[in-house]
Amino acid sequence: MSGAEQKVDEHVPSENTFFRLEEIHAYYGESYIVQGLSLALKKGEILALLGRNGAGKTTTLRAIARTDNPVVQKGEIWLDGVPLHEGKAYQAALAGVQLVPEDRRIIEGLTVEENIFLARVAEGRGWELDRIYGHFPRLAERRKQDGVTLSGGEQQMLAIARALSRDVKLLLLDEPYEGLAPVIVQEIEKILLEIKEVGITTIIVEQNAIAALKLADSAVILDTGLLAFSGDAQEVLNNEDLLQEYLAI
Amino acid sequence: MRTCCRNIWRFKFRAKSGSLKFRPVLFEKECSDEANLPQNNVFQLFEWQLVSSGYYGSTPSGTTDFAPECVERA
Repeated sequence: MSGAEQKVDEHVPSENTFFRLEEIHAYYGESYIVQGLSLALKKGEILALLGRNGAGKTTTLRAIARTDNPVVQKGEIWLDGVPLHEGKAYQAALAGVQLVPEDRRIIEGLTVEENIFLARVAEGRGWELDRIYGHFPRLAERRKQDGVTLSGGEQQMLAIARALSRDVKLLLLDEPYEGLAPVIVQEIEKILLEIKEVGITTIIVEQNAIAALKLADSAVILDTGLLAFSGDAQEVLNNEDLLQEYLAI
Repeated sequence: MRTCCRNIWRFKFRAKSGSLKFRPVLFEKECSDEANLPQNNVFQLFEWQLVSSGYYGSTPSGTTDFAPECVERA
């Protein structure tokens, strides 16, 4: 059976739906990137959002986080009953959306601890410092160090820790393994498994599709902004046609 | 925001709640003015983080309670 014949949309809203996109259309200027994407997640579900470069994965995350770009011209975004599509980025953040961006955005001139403190400036705080340091001992060791002097893996940990210091309901991870050595990837994987055990609803975008699929419960594959597959993560892992056709594996 | 040369851009941040204080973050520029305030800089990252923290949703200019200012070098 080909990948195209595998097209099913299991991500339809139900009474258990915690987060959902409905017919999202997102643009960068005139460029039409995400073309009518719908999906739904249960609370605590981890979704691997996959596809080749330019498929619209990061654009989808940014649309959910309500960044100024892309512009969502049509569609609805709902998190725990809150209409995110009606608000701006700070309102999405207050509703519990936390985006860990690909470039990590650690702030130069601030220590590890100050980077975390800055994330806790508004109400809606999440994990306390002790809990964060318990999960990220490397950050505890380097708490007084300038954040940008950390290694790439440590900066990724700091970016994730910063998100967890908010009262996060939906965690958006954009390429968390990018540019990291395999041993560091394993360390980040371990942290993400701990986050999974806590039950935080998560969408992970990752070029390392196999690693993302092993972590995820479900998967969505995008192909030039369109939904190509929606179903169980294990189903993708078991389907060589899908892996080859859409993920070049 | 003043325009000056051979200065340091200092980022001051005062949390409205008063519960958080940050030491000034200093950025040295050989010759700085408003036009060459560092692009993709800490100022923008600061703002991004504050938006991501749900602190505010405004653009950098005008309505925030932190801003870069230049400080004459001694």
